Amino acid sequence: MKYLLPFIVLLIYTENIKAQHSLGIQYRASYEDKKLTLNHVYAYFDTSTIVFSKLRFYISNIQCKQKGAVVFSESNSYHLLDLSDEKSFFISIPNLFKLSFDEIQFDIGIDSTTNSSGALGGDLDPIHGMYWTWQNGYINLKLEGSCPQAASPTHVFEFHLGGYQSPYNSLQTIHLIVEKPHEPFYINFALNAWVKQIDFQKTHHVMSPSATSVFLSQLLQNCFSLKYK
Amino acid sequence: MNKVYFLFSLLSFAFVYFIPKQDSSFQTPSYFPKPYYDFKKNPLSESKIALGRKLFYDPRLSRNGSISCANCHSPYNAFAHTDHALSHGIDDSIGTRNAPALFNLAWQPLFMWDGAINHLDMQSLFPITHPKEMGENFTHLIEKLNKDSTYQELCYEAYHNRLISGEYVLKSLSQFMLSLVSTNAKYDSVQLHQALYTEQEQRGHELFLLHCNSCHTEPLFTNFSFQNNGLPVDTFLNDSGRYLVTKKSSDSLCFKVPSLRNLEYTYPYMHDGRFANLQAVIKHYINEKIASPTLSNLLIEPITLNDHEQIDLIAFLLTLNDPSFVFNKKYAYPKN
Repeated sequence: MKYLLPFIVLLIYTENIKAQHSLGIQYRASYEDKKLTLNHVYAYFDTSTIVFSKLRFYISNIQCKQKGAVVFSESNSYHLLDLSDEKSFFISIPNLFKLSFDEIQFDIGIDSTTNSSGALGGDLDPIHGMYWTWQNGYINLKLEGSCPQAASPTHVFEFHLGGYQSPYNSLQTIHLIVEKPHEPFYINFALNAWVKQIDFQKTHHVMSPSATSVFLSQLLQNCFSLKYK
Repeated sequence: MNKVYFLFSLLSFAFVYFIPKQDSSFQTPSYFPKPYYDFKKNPLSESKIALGRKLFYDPRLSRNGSISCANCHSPYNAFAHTDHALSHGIDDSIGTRNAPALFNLAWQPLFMWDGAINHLDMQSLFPITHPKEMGENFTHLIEKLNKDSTYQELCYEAYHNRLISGEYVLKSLSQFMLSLVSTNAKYDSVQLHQALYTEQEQRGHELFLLHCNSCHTEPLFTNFSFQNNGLPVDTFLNDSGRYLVTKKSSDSLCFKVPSLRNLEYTYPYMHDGRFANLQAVIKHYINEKIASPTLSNLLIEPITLNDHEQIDLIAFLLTLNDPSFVFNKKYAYPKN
């Protein structure tokens, strides 16, 4: 009898995870396998530290595939994920998990057609500060923070990555294999895998479409993974 | 039966009240090409144009309430900034380029002298947020507007929503700018066989077709391309034009070909307003062009015009003035 209460709690917890799982896709940002918290001091390699003050990025064009064939394609699929608003990391897609699929695909950023479509609303409204006003285009991803290695006056780094026109198209398409489709999972963005590839001595401010923006965006390819809860 | 009648009346009222009035004013002459702007994504309506017009003339769009769009785009100057070579902005800042005239924007594919802006809807973001123009944060602007009951009312009339969004503001500004259509110059009357050129204007038109029309193509008087027209580089501004956007060496010193309509109202001329009058512009094309790797192919051949021909050409160019556009009260400061 004394084990009943923990059992019920566990049952409710598990059911909650399953219920949430059935309603959409959960994203998570992590640093060294721990959930990322803004303005927290993390170790950067063995000898230094790093702090993140802002992380915002677009997830768009979500598709699910079964044996290479698209079985689901979200309409109006533009989502701004902002770490300061935890709710934004959950993308609601009711009924998604009634489908069978073995692959999830999504873009980090905004495609060129949408970039040339004029004023748009919702998550694409320029009031969210994810649009370059002086030269058109959405900012696909913003990461800001500080690191003693950053060779800027206050050791601040600001990466505003974007660009939708050749040769600086920075949009990245991520493909993730779903091996256990019926188990709750989340999509993890491992920040440590990304920032540890950046030479902060040389690169600490990227604020426009450029070769550096493309390079840093390409590094994102290895930072997203599917993890089971 | 009364109930049915009442319900029908209510539904009719709701239909009339909630459907924005469609504006039929976007009518253009038969000899104009199809507009570039996709009106399906932002169909013109009187209520949206009215909201855009109020925004256009409102200095609260700037950080400190001192500068409106109309400061540099005055209706009496065909929405250019007469007598100012470079645009003036917030805190007496001076920009690096001449404020262009605004009309017939529905045909224009790219905006700014260097084509940095790819859509009319997004054009307004540049001056609103530029530190030397209006210096405002766009998110803050939307917060300010949402505290104003007049704007809430206008937004409701236009979009059935009192909550003003960035999208509504940008689309409404586009609507007002799209409504700025200038097609009533003497040139247009001649096209419609309602007027005749004078002999001098006729001679000027022939010279225009020979020397100018390749870039300043009729009837819009621009082909919207980017060209290096041989201006010597201003070593203070050091502006490389379209190269700044594309980073292609072939675009170095190229600037957008402006329309020549309403020319008399829009002086000074060129991207940096360096020429105060048309005589100086023509003199440049005749014998002051600087050869460089990106000089427009169309300007490599020398242009020869004697004094009489220059006057004839200017006589034709003045037939592109459209006073009915410049003094149209529909486009002026909204008094109410």
